[in-house]
Order: sequence, then structure tokens, then C-alpha cells
Amino acid sequence: MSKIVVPGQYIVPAYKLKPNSDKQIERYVPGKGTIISQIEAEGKQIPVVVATILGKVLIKEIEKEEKDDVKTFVVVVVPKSNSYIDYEAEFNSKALEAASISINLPKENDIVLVKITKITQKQVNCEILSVEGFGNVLADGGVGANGETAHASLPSGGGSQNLSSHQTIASSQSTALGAQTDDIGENFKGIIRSQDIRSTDRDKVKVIESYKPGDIVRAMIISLGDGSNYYLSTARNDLGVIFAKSENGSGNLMYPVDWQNMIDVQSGLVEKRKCANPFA
Amino acid sequence: MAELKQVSFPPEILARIAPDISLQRHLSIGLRPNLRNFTEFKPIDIASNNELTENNNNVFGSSVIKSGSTTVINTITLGVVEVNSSTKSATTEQLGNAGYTTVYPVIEIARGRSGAPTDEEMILSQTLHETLLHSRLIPKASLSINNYGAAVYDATLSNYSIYYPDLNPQEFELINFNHSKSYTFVLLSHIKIFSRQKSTSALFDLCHLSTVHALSRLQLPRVYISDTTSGTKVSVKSRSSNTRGLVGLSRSNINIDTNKELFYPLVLNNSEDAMVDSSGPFDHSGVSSNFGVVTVADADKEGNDEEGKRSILLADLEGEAEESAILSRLSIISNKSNTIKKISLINGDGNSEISLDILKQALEIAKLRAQQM
Amino acid sequence: MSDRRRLIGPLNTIIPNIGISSNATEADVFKGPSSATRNEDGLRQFFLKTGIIENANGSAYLEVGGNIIQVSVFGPRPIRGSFVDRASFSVECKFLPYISQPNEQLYNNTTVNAGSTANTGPTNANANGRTGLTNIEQKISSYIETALLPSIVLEKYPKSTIDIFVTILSTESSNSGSTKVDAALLGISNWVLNCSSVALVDSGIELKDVVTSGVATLKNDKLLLDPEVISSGEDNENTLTCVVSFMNLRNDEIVGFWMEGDQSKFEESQVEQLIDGCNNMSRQVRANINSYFTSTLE
Repeated sequence: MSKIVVPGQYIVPAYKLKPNSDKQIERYVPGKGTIISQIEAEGKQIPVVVATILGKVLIKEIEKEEKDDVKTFVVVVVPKSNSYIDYEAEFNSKALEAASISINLPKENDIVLVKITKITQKQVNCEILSVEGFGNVLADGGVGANGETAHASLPSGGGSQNLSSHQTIASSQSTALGAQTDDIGENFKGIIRSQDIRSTDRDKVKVIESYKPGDIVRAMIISLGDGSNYYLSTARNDLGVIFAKSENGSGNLMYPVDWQNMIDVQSGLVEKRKCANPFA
Repeated sequence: MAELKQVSFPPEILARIAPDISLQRHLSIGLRPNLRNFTEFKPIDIASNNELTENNNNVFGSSVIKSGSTTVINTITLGVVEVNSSTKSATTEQLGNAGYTTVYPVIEIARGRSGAPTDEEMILSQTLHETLLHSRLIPKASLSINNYGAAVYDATLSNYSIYYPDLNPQEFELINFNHSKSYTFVLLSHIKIFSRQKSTSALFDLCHLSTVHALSRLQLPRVYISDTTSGTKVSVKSRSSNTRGLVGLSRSNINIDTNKELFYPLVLNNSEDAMVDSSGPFDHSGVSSNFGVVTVADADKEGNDEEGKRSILLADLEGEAEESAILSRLSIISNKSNTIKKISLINGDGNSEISLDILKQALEIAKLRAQQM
Repeated sequence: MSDRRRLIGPLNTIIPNIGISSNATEADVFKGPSSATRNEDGLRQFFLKTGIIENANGSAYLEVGGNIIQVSVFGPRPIRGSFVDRASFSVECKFLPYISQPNEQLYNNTTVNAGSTANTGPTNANANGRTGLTNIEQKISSYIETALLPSIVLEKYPKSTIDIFVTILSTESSNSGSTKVDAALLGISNWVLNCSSVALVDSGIELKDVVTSGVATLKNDKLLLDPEVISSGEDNENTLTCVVSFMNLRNDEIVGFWMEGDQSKFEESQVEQLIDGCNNMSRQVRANINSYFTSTLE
């Protein structure tokens, strides 16, 4: 029953009426990948569920608690592929369905992979590398643009951003005031506040024993925040450090021992981190 | 009853968040992230048609090269420069390196940004410029403009006719030709790179190949001067606000004759390939190959040193994982007569140094590749 | 003046003008492809491919007649600055530096050198490595932006920007040497818009509808869809040329309208004729694009 649709294509009217009456018997709610558009037909404006991306249509009935004469369906369009859908067999397909058609822009309650850039006593600064369920945020990672091969993001204030003139782009009325494109390879930035690092003993958290710069951390977006930072939380068992190198990044890869410690097998060093549970 | 499944990532994600780990995991099972053999180069397709040159008056040589999804489009146009006549008498051999000239490339890599060139673009342009100069590919004499003609207005026919001293000697004598300056061409090239997947060193290889290929197909036109009574005037327009970013415009009376029958090919320096039978475009200039060296920690493998590591030579670096994690690089240009035109070695990583064995291996591979191109 | 970041040749480089041909019989020979196959309704066949640029979120490549266009879409991607509740949108359209741009003499101020009226081709500055956009590029970019803006659901992408980069690799006017015909400029704008729409769909950004566009000329009361620029002898006499862009599945909403002509007065009926013609062409283009997308998903 999967019909392929293109953006703008009508899927189904927003409601179906009982023949010869005004009573609604079926209602269709727009889900991911769809919106309601007012389409002119026979002189009237009819609300229609319209696809907004290229993909296959999936219509599911919503189970309601109270008995209702009106059956409600949600209409979803599943896109062709992204980094995760391609490897669907390897992943837990239930998680995939929930996350399906994530776009690369982080939204609230998305699980993301971040790299820690700076720690202070009150919070941890990081940059968002990829969204689980979709893939890397930036299609072009920016590697090599400035003659560097180091896999750190561009330093703020460094790089050639001063010379990338926004005026050369012919855009006008829509450009929000003050919106300046970042330099190549610069990612969205995020903050994990110290009270959001874990769920127990939240006030007694020591940031230095939870994360270090250079760690790769799995976190959840709790708020879009302001123009400069998203706000994230790692207060769950499956959230926390995924990859870390010992001795502040200059040593070897470490493996988690328990949720508070990681060990460097080659040197035997044990370091404190808030680790993610590596098993699903 | 919980299902224990280890957290895993699709390859592109792992390459972005932890490129060195991604690379190590691939190498330890004998693979590369881009699934080529360790010493295998990515195949290169060179377009054989000449559409860009044929369809545009302003383009005199061009080349389109594809490697995977990366596409390199090169167009060469011409500028003219006055020459001091006294240097014309010396022969190319006597001048040594000064007897050769090079191309002025501007490289643009399409990465979703605009504005001033990135370091990478500047490095590529400069390296290409210098490599061609030092490989003595283009003799200065090949670019000199000899026998430029004059355009004369015929009032009865109300159009212009062009006369050259060598082709139309009789008509030319009748013209009051006051020009005694000497000119030479300047090769200006613009390279646009789409869908950059390969590392900077690999891009250099492609740009070098593209430029040599475009030069081999370059056709130089005849030149004529339109205003025969006065000398050439060069006026530079002052920079007003709407020419922001535009380099100064210079107008003069030097014109290019669009008559394609009079076009002649650029003569390149082919003196070294006495041993070579075929006459491919890359025989003399050579083909550039790039390599990287990385150390893999392998337990129980032969050839390891005491700490269980071995150095691997990887050819043609491509992809985020390889580009971020491999810091020791080699770049070798070798031509068909087994002359090394250029060699560049960088030891960027204390763990993966270029040893003599690695260097020999790389040289062999580069020579073999130049023979096959 | 020198640009220190680029190698643009020695300081005293002169850019020669492209002159005439010393071979008198060669003048006015057209080099472009002349009879590209046309459907019964007047539309030329075009070649379309998406997903070819790997480091962009979406991309498309279009070849029609002598026009070759490549579009890359980047976004949504981070911006710097204060919080915005919807995505910022921008379009940058550039020709390859040495390709002659349509209607150059009129808009780009590339005037013919007084001393050599023999010039029929464009004079050119040292176009290598300029960062600004020429006037023609500004016009095209601005048209594309105006037309695409209503179709993108910007509210779904706060705090980010969506950028479109267009590269025009070849135009019909450069092929034929004809640089005065309006149809050249409007024709290329038409196809750039169609190609950009396709690239946007490829990027997965949510769109209310796919914007498609049609171009037509009305010469001496004769309507011609998708006019082709062939020989350099053509001019704008008594012609009205118009490119109109629609969101066909949203009640045929017009999102872009650009008309050029050399008449000081024109009738409402002429404008209606042109709009209907463009709508016709736009629907056909949409049908073709739809079938292309369906085939990519199978």
C-alpha cells in the first residue's frame, strides 16, 4: 500500500464525510512529512493532507480510548534513505520507526552525538556532530579546508570566516537580521549543564569527573535554547561517554568498566567518566 | 530478557565522530573505509569531448576529469603581456629555468561557501603553479606572439579586414603600422572542483592531471591590433561600489582573431622523452601520485616490530577517516621515462614515520602508474 | 589592482578583446545544437540527475539544449547570531568565469571598445577569481530566491540556514554567440529554477510544493514555448518574453514573474497568453519531474 509521493502531492482529504450528510466518519491527521493545505475545488477551499517530502506514504490508525464514531488516522511519509535507514537490518527497527524521517536539524527529544569542546564547573560546552536516526548534521565535515588534518572543529575566531562575505550571496528579504552563515565545518553548539549530567545526586556532580574535552558523548536535546546553543541532557543510563581517549585525549582508546569509570587497556589507567551503557 | 546489543554506528557516522577509530577498525581487518586495496588508486575518467572549448570564444583549452563523484572542470583563457625585446634573443637552453613559464591557476572547491579562497585552495594553486614551472613543461618561446596583425576599416565595404605580415604581406605593407612592441601570452586557468571526496593531496593529483591535459589540447589564436594609428592604451577602471570584488578592468586594442583555421597548438617541452615511443599527453610532464603512511597495532602478525605495530602504505587518500587520521604523506610525480619530477615527504605523526622501505615501495608504485597512464 | 590570495597573472596583464574572424565566411555560423527533439506541445527534452554531489545535502544536474546547470543545496546548517524561529534562505548563482553571460552587453556593462567596432562578441575583464556577483548573476539569484521562498516550510527549521549554490556550466547564448536576445536570459533563469526545485526535493527539506517554471515568447502574435537561442542574428524586435513560475499543485499559485520586451505598450491579452503558455509548459515540466522522482524510488 506504499504509494510514492512527491512534495505537494495530495494524499487524502483531511476528513471524510458520511455520504449525504455533514457528519465526519474519518479524520486524517498530518504526521511527519506532511502538512495540511487548502486546495480549491469547485469553488470551495478544502483542507487536504499534502506530502512535503519525497517518499512512501504510511497511514496508521490511532487507537483512541473513548469510543468515538470518528476514526482517526495519522499520515506519515517515510523518505527514501538516510544513513540509518540504509543499515536498517543492523539496528533496532523499533527505534528506527520512532526516529524515522528525522532531518539533520536537531529537535527537542532527539538523541545526538556530540564532541566536548570545553568544560567549566557549571556546564560543559560541546558541538553536535550527528543526529541519531538521520546521520551527520553537516554533509561536508569541512576537513582539510584550512590545511589542517586535525579532527577538531575550527577554533572560534580562527578559520577564514572573516573573509567569507555574506554580501556576495544574493539574498534579501528573507535573511533574518544578523543571521550569518557559519564557516565551513562549524557545527551547532550545545551546553550540558552540570545538573543535567546525571539523574541522581544532581547537585553533587563534579564536571571534571564526568567529561573531558575531546570525548564523544551521546546526549538528548532538552531545549532549542538561544541563538548560540542547544541545551542537552545525559541523565539516562544509555546517555554519556561513548568514546574517550586517556590522558585528555593524548593516550589510547578507553573502554567503560561501569557507569563511572573507564579503563585504558594498554596502560592500565582508570579514569572517571559518566559512561553510556554500551548495550541496548 | 533484555537484548544485549552493542552500540554500533553506520560508517559515515563513525568516520565523523571518531575518524581514527574508524580507520583502525577497517585496517585491522585488511580493508579501507573506501573499500579499495591498500595500494590501489581510484580510477580516473578523462572526458574526451572538447565542448567547453568549442562552445566558448573565450576558452582556449579545457578539460573535464571525473574520479568517483569528484569532478574537476578546468578552463584556460589567455592574457597578454608586453615583453622587453632584449630578452627574446637568448635561446631556451641558455636561459635555464628562466626560459620556462607556467600557468596561473585559480582553484575553487565547491563546498557550500563563498568568499575568499580557503587555505586549501590557495595551497593547491600555488603548488600547481610552481610544480609546472619547475618541471620545465612550457617554454617561454611557445607563448610569444609573433606576427600580430592589424585591422583596417574599409569604408566602401563598411567592415573591418585583418591583415597579417606573414599571411598577407602585400596588403600589410600598405598599412601605416606603428607598433613595435613585443607581446607574449599568459595562461590563466580556472579549476572548479565539485563533490570533493578525496583528500587535498589527491586533489593536487587531479588538478595536475587536469592542467596537463588541458595544455595538451590548448589552441593558441592569432592576435591583431585594431587601432593602427596609436599605440596600445591600457586604462584601469576605478573601483566603484558595484564592482565589488571585481578585479580592475583593462581595455586595450589587442584583439583575438576568432578564425579557428588559424589556431595553432601550444608547443610543450618534449625533449626528455627520447626513450618513449608513444606520445601521450602525460609522457613528459608525468603523473602525480599521493600516498599516506599509517601504523596499525596488530597482535600476532608477522612483520611487526616488538610492540606489535606495522606501517602500512595507503595510496590515494579519500574519505573523512583517512584524511583526518593520516598525517604522514608522500606526493610523487614520475614520468614515462622514469624521471622523478617532484617529490614531497611529510612526517606528520611520530608513530607513522616514512621509512626507507615505505619510500621505495611508493616510488615503485608511482613509476608503474606513470607508465600505465 | 592585485588580489593577494589568488594567482591572477603578472601585474601588467592585459585581457585581449575577442575580436572578429579574419575568415569572412565564418561569421555568424551557429555552433549550438539546433534541433533538440521537441514534444508535440513544444517542450524540449531535458536530462536530469540528482544526488551527484556527495558533500551537499541535495544536488541536481540538468542539461537542456545547450544549457548545462548544476545546483547544490546545503542545509539546514548552523548560523551565527541571535535566535531565529525559521530558517534563513539564500541563493547564489554563478557562471563559470569565462563563459559569456546572456545579455552581457546590456546588464554587465561590458561595452564594446570604441576603437574596434568590429567586436561582435563580449569583451571581458579578468574574470578569474572574482568574489562578487555580476549584475546578471544578481538578477538570476534574486529571481530564484523570490520564487522558491514560498515553497519551503521554513518554520520547521529554526536557528539554521538553507543555502542554494547554482553553477551554470554552459548556456545557449555562449554557444551561439548571440548575447542580445531576452530569451537567453529568461530561458536560463527558467531552467535554473526548475533544477533548483529538483535539488531541494533531493535534499529532503520539507516543501509545500515543487516549484516549476515555464518560459515563452510572443513574437508578432505567435506564441512559442521554451524558445531556443540559435543564431546570433536574432534580436528582440517586436517580442515579449516572459518566464512565469508556479506551484502547480497549490491552485497554480504564481510565485515568480519576469517579463522583458522592447515594446512600450502591451495588452492584457498578451500577458494572459504568455501566462497560460508558461503554465502549460510548467505543468509538463512538473509531470516529467514527478516521473523522474518516482523512478528513483523504485
